[in-house]
Amino acid sequence: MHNTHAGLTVAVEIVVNDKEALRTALRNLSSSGNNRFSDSKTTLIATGVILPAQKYKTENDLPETLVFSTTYCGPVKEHLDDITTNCKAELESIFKYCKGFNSLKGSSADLKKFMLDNSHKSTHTSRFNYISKEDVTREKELRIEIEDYLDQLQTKFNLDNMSPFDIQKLIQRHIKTRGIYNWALKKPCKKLIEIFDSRKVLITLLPTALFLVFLLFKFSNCPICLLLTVVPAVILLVILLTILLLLYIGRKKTEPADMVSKYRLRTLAASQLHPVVNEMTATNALKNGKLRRHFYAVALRIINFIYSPQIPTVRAIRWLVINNKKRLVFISNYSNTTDFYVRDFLNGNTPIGVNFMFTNGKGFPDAKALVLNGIIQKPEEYMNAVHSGQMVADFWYIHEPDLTIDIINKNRRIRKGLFKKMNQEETIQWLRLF
Amino acid sequence: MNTVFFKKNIKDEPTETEKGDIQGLLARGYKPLNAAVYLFLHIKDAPKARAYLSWLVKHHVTTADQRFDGDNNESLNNKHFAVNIAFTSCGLKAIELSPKIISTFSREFTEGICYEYKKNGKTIRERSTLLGDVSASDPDLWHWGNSKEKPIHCVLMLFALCNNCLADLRKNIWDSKELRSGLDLSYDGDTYLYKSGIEKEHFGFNDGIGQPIIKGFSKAKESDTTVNTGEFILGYHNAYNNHSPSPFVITESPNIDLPNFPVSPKDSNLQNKKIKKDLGKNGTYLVIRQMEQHVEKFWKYMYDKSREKGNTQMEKAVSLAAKMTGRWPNGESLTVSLDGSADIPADELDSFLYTDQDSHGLRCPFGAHIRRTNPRDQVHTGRNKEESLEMSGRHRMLRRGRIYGEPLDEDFNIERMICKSMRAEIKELSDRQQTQKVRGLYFICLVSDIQRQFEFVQNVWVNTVGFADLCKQVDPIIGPRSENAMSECHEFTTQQHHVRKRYKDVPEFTTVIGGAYFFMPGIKALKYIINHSGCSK
Repeated sequence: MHNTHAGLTVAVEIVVNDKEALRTALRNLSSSGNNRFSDSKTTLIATGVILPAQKYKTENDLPETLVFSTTYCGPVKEHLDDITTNCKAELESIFKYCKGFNSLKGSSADLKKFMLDNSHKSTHTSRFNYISKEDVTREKELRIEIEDYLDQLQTKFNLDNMSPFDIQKLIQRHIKTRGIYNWALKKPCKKLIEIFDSRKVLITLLPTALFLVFLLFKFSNCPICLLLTVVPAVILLVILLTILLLLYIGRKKTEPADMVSKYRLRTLAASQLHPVVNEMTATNALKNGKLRRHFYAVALRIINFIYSPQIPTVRAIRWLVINNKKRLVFISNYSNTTDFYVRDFLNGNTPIGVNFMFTNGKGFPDAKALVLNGIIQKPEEYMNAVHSGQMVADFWYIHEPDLTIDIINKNRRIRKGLFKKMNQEETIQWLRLF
Repeated sequence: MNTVFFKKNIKDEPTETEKGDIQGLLARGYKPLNAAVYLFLHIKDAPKARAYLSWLVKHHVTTADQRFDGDNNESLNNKHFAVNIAFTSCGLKAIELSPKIISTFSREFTEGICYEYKKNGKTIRERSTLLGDVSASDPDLWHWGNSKEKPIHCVLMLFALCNNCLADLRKNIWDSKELRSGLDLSYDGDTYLYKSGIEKEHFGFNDGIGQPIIKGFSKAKESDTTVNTGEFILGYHNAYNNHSPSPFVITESPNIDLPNFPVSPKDSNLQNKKIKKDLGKNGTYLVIRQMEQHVEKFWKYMYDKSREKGNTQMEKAVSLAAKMTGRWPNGESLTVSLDGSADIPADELDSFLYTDQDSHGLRCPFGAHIRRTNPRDQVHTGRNKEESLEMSGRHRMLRRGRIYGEPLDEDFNIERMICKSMRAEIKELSDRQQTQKVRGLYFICLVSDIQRQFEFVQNVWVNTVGFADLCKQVDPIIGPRSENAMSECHEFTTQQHHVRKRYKDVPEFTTVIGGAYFFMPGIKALKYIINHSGCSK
């Protein structure tokens, strides 16, 4: 099984008029001892949120909707098998309030089909891609073991007088003697599907292939080569035009979001007090326009292939459109609290890429303000728009909640370098990871 | 050096700062005025309190355009004392300012520093959690700032040349009971009078280095450390070249002596004839936190545990203390001075960056106090030097703190402090009796946005366990240690050429024992608050 991370988002209209019961069911999923998602081998993150009815054109024309999302590891089929087996009762307890669920017969296959039928494609990025759930934990334990061993070494020897190679060898010997870390003797190797990740293929191979075929055509005049040149060129052009068009229509100005009340801000903030990692789900109706809806959906798909937002504190992030492409949903898991995390977007070059995705949501500053000038021109308006659409998740599960994304990736680098042959400078750099 | 520092944030702004309308503390720390006291007051009778405050504003409140004895320009007109005043949000309520106006202040200010509420049977303490005010620093244990029965409403800050002058000032301004019968003294915040020439905090380190220069407040040509005025004073352009959110008044009377509020699209919703006036202009938010410093515990830990370089255990102790602080006791940065004897001129003590000089933290550890509170050009979430500088520049604070209590050694001699610490019996801070105030610091900072500046630094840089890829550690000097709601954070790491040194079980060296958020209005706003409060009654 490969370890590529992806996002599953099930969004389905709530039909049973008992929102509180659904909320209770979602909260029960989170309660300790009842959280079966921690037993799931493929679920890295899971969230359950009730989106309220919202206005697109007329009042409440966007229905109350349950959004259940996961960031998972491996093929979607295995993930669905995993959660519909391990967490069947839990999932049924929330989906029974949703449209189309009660006509099902109650089998795992039915549940799986229901989830697939109601799932939506998203622009999903995981900043610890290719690291399995099991590896996140055991690489953390490996680091702790080495840290403790280094402390012991320092009580006996002055490590400043030893070469970095000798220190690395001592660590290697120690890990070898501890049988429980045998898995670490081999460096993690990527599966073929991970190496040929679609984004990398598109970004690196497509232009290269295009150039090679063009050269071939230039020197051979072969009509097939011409075709092979034109088709990808047209694809690239379409991508470019879609993005430009989206930017253009994103320029439409809408009323800034209403000021969010202090009471609501307080409620939102109270849900963000986990010590290391927190969750944010936000939703806004798209700005009106049929063209926008379709172009936006297409653009999100394209962006998923060509762009991976590198927000420093994020573990996983996604954008998608639901409710007949009329509602934008944003789900993120990150270090620190919402306000400080959202301020990440106001820094440096991050706004240019990330906020492109927000420009078409109602209440956000227009594309010109968000992208071309940078949202730092209207920081408070932007923060208010995010807050106005922010929801409190009634269910949230995250694997290893005390690890920041940087520590997860650092642990992976430690594992990779443990038995790797490195030159002196590389070995020093590796030792500095501790 | 520093050629790109904050340059991106600075934009020419034609408006001159209105120094006559700005309270003096914003412009200066009143260094020549050695003696100071902070009187934390409770308003018990609003009309009488307003009358007293009105008298105070008319005769005593110091503005930023006034000069002092000890300033470079000696003049007979120089003042030899200073008085400033600031209100908490419940203070504004107590003085009977309209709730509508109070609601226009920021959420952080209106809720206060230790606001709590119940939800689903659970007590939520958002701000205490963010700021790390837990365990021994729990607001329930504070000496002031936490009282629900007799809350702090305002702070009167008195500064004078010497203790006798301060006593006179206090007698004139405060001690006449008839004059101030509308107010009670809730907490007497006396400070320590330095012997001339020594200005250190209680651990024995030079303090007050690294202050940003406010644009429009220095005669010196704009330098790399100049920060837009609006970062610290409301009503001017801030680091985003925008205005920080400011309180306002909606009125029909154009004659009110307050400046107009900067126009926003939402203002078009205002009904005819109504105008929006800026109550924040020339004012600022003031954060005061009283922090007890456990000096004996600090030096005992350094002496017992240090494995840093040094010929004697004393030198090793100083070396570890310097690594935790980020500066040598004389104020020289570890980044530029290997042993604290580089003889760096005072005005260059803050001229350093990290990326080029110490990118691996080998000199100044990544987790050191000054590297966390101002990471300069190496913010761990920044992609490059320029971006990091820009990010750091959006979270600056203007510090005006003073110490209180007798120092462990009156000359702040570190060797003697260590000797005394080793002899002292260190008690665990398990209950209130053992945290009686001894010595510490009134941390005072001025910001135009409490959340973006003070709370951000405290939460994201000081209290984040994963800061700069570190594990299980927070700011070693002011960060809170492990508590049920937090991750483990009792370690400190000093990066070395090959293998880091890890210190475990680092205790808390400071405990917060009081605190509040205040609004320090400009003079016009102060007059408005005093004259227009109580009108609805």
